[in-house]
Amino acid sequence: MKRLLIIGVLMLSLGSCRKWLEIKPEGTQLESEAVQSQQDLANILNSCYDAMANHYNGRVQFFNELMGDNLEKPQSGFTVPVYQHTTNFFNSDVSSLYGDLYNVIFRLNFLQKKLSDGSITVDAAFKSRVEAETKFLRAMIYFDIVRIWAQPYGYTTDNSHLGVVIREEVETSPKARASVGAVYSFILGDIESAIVGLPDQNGNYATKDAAKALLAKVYFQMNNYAKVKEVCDELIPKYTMDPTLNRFENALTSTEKIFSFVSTGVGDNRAATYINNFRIVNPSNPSPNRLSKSLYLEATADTADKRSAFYTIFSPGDASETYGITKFNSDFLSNPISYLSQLKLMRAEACAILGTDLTTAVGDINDILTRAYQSNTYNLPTNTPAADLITMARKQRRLEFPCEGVRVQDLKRIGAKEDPTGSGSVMIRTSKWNCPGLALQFPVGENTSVFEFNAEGGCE
Amino acid sequence: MLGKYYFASMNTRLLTFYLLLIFATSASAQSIKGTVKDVGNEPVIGATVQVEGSSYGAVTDPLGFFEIKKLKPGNYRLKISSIGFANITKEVTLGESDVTVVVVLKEDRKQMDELVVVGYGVQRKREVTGAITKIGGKELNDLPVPSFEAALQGKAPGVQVTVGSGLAGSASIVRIRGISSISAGGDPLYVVDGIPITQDYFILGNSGGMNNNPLSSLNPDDIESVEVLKDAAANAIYGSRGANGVILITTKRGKGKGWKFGAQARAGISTPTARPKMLNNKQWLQLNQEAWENDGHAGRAPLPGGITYDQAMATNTDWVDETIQTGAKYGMNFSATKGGEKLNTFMNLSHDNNGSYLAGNSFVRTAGRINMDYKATQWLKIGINSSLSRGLNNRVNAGWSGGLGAAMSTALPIYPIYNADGTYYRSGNNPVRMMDNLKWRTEELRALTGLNLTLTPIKDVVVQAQTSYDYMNQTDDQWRSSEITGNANDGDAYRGMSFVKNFNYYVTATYMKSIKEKHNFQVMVGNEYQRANTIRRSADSTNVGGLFTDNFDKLLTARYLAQPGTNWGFLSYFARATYNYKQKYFIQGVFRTDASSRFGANYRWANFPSLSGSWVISEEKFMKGNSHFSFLKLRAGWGKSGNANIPDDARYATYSAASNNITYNGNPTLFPLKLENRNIRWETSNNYDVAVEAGFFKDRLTVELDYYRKVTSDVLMYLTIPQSIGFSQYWDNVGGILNEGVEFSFKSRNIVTKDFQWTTNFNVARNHNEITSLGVYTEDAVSGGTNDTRVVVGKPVGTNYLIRWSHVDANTGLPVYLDINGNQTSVYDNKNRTAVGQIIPKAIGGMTNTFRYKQWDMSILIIYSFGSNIYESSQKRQTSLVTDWNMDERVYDRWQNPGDVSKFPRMTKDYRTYGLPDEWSNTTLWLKDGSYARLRNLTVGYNLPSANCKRMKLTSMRISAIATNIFTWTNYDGLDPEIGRDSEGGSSGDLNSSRNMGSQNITYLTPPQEKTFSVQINIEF
Repeated sequence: MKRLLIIGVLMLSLGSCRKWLEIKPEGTQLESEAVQSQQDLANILNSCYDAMANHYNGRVQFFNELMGDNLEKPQSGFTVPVYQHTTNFFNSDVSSLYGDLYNVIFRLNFLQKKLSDGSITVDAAFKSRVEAETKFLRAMIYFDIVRIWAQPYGYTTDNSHLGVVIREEVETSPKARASVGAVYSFILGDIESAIVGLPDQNGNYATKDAAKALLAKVYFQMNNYAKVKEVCDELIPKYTMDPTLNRFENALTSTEKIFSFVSTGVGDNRAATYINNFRIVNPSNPSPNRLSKSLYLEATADTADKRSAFYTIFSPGDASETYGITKFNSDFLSNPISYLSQLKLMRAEACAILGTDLTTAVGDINDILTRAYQSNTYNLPTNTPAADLITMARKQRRLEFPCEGVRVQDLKRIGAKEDPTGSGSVMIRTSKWNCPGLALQFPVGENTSVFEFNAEGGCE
Repeated sequence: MLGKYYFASMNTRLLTFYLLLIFATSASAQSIKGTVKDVGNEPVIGATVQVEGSSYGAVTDPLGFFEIKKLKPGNYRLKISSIGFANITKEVTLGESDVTVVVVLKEDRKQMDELVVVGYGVQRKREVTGAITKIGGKELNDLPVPSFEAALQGKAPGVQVTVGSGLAGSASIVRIRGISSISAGGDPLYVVDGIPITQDYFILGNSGGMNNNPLSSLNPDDIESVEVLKDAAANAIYGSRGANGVILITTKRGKGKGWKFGAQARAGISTPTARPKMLNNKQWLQLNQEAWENDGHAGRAPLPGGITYDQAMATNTDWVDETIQTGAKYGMNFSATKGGEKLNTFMNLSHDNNGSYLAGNSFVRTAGRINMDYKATQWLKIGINSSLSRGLNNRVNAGWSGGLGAAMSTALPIYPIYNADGTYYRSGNNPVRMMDNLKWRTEELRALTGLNLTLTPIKDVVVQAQTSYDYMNQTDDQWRSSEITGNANDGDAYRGMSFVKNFNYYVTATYMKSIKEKHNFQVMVGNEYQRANTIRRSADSTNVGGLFTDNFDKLLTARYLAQPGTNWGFLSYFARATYNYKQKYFIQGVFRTDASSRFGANYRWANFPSLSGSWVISEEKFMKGNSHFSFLKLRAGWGKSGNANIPDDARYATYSAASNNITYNGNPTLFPLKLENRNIRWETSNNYDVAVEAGFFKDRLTVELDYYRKVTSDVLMYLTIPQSIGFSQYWDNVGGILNEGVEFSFKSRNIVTKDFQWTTNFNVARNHNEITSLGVYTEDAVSGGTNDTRVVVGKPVGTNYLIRWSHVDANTGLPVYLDINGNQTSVYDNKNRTAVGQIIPKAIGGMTNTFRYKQWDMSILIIYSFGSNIYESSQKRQTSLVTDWNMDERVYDRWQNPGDVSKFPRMTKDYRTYGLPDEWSNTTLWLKDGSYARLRNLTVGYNLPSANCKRMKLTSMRISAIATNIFTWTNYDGLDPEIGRDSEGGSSGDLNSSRNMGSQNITYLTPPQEKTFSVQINIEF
């Protein structure tokens, strides 16, 4: 009896089992449970669109505008140093945007990995399309990251200056920054690859044309106007001008729409940051963020231009005089990303700079003017000189795309081409276009031995 | 696959070993059997029973049993000896049948023969080859602390105890031989009667300015002894759990003969050790005005909170008075013990009310325990440990969360409590309004139960099996009235519920053999498994008239939400072999292999060996007759220990819930929440320890000197990673930490006369802590909360990493900082941060002097801590930068006119005056010397003469008066230099990082410690 009891106790002690340690954490969904099918991958891709729709809801655009000359200094908070070109690595607003954008890149890289590693069975058409969509979205994000956190293309003649970290696969190690040239090559590679794989029609998701429109923008930023013209020539005939002055009202259904994020109502509002920043709730009170005087004056100089009605002034004549815009006075708006007007003004400037096909340039600008004035009375004559066309195209870009984050990158592009030494002929407010603070500082999390931060300060 | 084969092979080998032990017995003949006990009826383990004039003999087992076989009939003379007892001889006549004898040994115990619990067993102190400090229950009960670990302070060399803040029931921070981790836990493993108990400090997150204290439900009056295992030779037997040291708690058990009863009653008061000296209304208004004018303005400075100047002049609310009280403390304890041949029982009932000095705050514990030992047969003893407790914490906000913290910050003296119409003032912080309209209590019900079997199947073999269950049900109930919620109803109620199930079993088999009293062996093998699961739910409802406890119908219809819980398991095999030659040369080897569910298959198992030895020099012939040394021992050891205290899901990629209800374009979404790390593995420490233990003058003076070196690698860190990876934080094994130090302690009976005795216990420990590597990461890879501490290679864990403050410019009254090269600058730039201080002390210790004169006794405990810095994080808002905070009186040392030499710069209301980016500047202006010595405890007692006791039919009676934290010597100009605050952070990883790097010596409105005065009566009958 005694021995039986002892043996029983001892055998019990050896009854432990390896499965005793296969314990799932409480209250979590693990990757192995969550990602099992083609539909799961489709849902992850959809989450990328969802996240980007939230990050491009005026937020990415706002950081660009803060650096540029379209806004007044914010009242308080971590956006003030962005405006003042003095960000440091503790700026939580800057690090939050940076992290959010790279988080989408992680998702996209993860999708590419799952599509190629064979762990999930997917059909060939799905694989081809999703791969192309991930590359399109990734290129779109990198294009903004490199423009916000690095000096622009053309800052150095060979573009060897530091760009941003390129993550093209799922990885967890710190990494050095690639050069701006390398980042643009990577972006172009992604876009070219996306163009091949994307369908012509894809519902509200990315299409071949969406990738081509992005390609035109990238070339435009690179001052590669021949390529801009080539891509625009192919795309522009497919779309027609929309008479609506405020494209935020109908971006998804507009005849100009090439790519837009889906924003369907108050509960699904993908223009929230535009609205939160610029909406004028009470006509007598300014919006949380205000426009610069220079934009206000330029936009309202000609009252025949119907777009001037978008602008308003608070406390005129007072020391506290400030300016607002009414385009975003709504509970929800749609969110245009790529559309015909952009292509028209890019092609116009490209043609003018190239000095070829000025008729097309005039035509493109006049399409914009005709809508703006709701009349062709103010159209440019067909013999307008190239230099005037360039000036007019640039002016129309400022007036057509306020708050859309275009202006500061235009000034940097122009600076790189026309003032490569930073002589002061191209200024962003009171700062030279290439001063250090015009590239936002990276978050402190990047502080590893392999990473080099941006220089700070240096802007007036 | 490898792990599977390894596992199977391990099982087979152990099974073979067990069976060999069982069947390695020989056939018996006539025998002398018996039991060796002490006068208290307790079995004497390991006593040698030798038949004089022969080679026959035996050693007693853990039940005190021995058997000498194969003896022929005749008269024998048995010599029974055991260390710590006087030798005895006994005549035995053996006839044709076996004879059973009972031998009672009288103690002849020296300090070095004291029994020490070592983990899965007991050793004499002289046999111990590792660094273990034992503290008796009586020493712990000297102090009226609500949680036993606070009473360890100053009593064990190398054990740093920072008592939790003045909040009742808050957790102390215990660190043994420094800090060897960053983001994994730094707390020791607590084992109660062999049960690794639930010790989750963050089960309530970080709420109200405190973290949960998992030890508060243990009744200090239940404790017989506490053993602190400090080096790997001692704690390698706990392998993966031992890197931060192990604290073994042994509860009292029945002993002696018959019933004995004890009763204790105590009552006392609690006050703060220091009172914040905040400005009154006129002082605040004057400095606010000064700042306004300094900023170039004219006229009256605007006032916050919608208060007019006249109202402000007429209102002077002392918010400190409104948020503190004189806390009441009282408690009763009743115990009963019964000893007998078969059954030993210990029972204890206690009720403690620990009111703190914070208004409305108290911790009330009601606890009961029954421990029973039943000797069923000569070969089977059954032990039961069972405790039930209820800890009820009447919570208040403190620190950053409000209450006294509000009184020290945003509750301005110009704010009234009530408006003229009798309603609460709401336009500024009004902590009274919050206190009156918040009901908050946390209740912890806990059952800790263990069943232990001790079997002696054959001669020299003992098998122990224990299974235990530690169940905890914690309910955090809150109710906010409509005054706070703003909803026109009966208020909102919230309940957080945690159900913690912690199951554990272990089985050990021990073989003991002594050959001719010279060669003494002991081999123990064992297996242990622990499984713990925490399920967390929350319930909330609107329009509830009070706490859910009082509105059960509303609880039934409340909204319930699942919260993340925990779920983990450990499986372990271990062995310990000891050998000594003539009680002179000792060697011990320990091997433990552990597997944790927190690690992936590739890194799940890890081995933790240790090897140690000691030489009792005083047993050598050449030392015999030495009149100075009564004992001299050298010991040395090496071993590995581990740490796996990370979140259960640290290695996994986790995803959004299947039903996240987030759609885009009408389609569902799925997205990752965190990165996976399949390679995450154990944090491992290599420990080295060398020590000398000595007793002088018949142990009138005993001394111990230890040197240790602990090298930790694969340090578990919750890193702030480059966000370009896609996430901002990540668990990984990075870098290394060194802890190196010396501990010295002595116990001296200075004067021993019939009427007067004076004894001194002294200890001091010096620790050098250094981060030796961070891989590619830099100082910002982990922060300790509030931007104050960082990880810096070459510096200690919890290094203050700040911009250096130089001085106030006497001409302008503006700050002058130092740049990274030490040059003066007016620019505040985070690039100029550098390592300037450390929150962990360089040296700690304590000294207890005890005096006895006839029936009177007095005990004085002084603790000390040297070489640390305090970062007074909240002071940046309490001085010359005038915001919506109140200031304290130290602000008067500010610049006013050109030529002034002052500590603080000119008053301003605009942080840009000082070149700051915001109000939250982190400079060395707030960094203070954290050294202090403190009169921790003064007890004066009177013991009733035994004759008087007899008349009252009592065994003993004692009346004592106890005062704690009476006086502090320090250069610190803040409230209290002993700072144990809550951990900040948004996730468990952050919280542990913050607990290691920011809980001690960083104060952010942290309530000071409490000063208590109490009287106590103890009687035994």
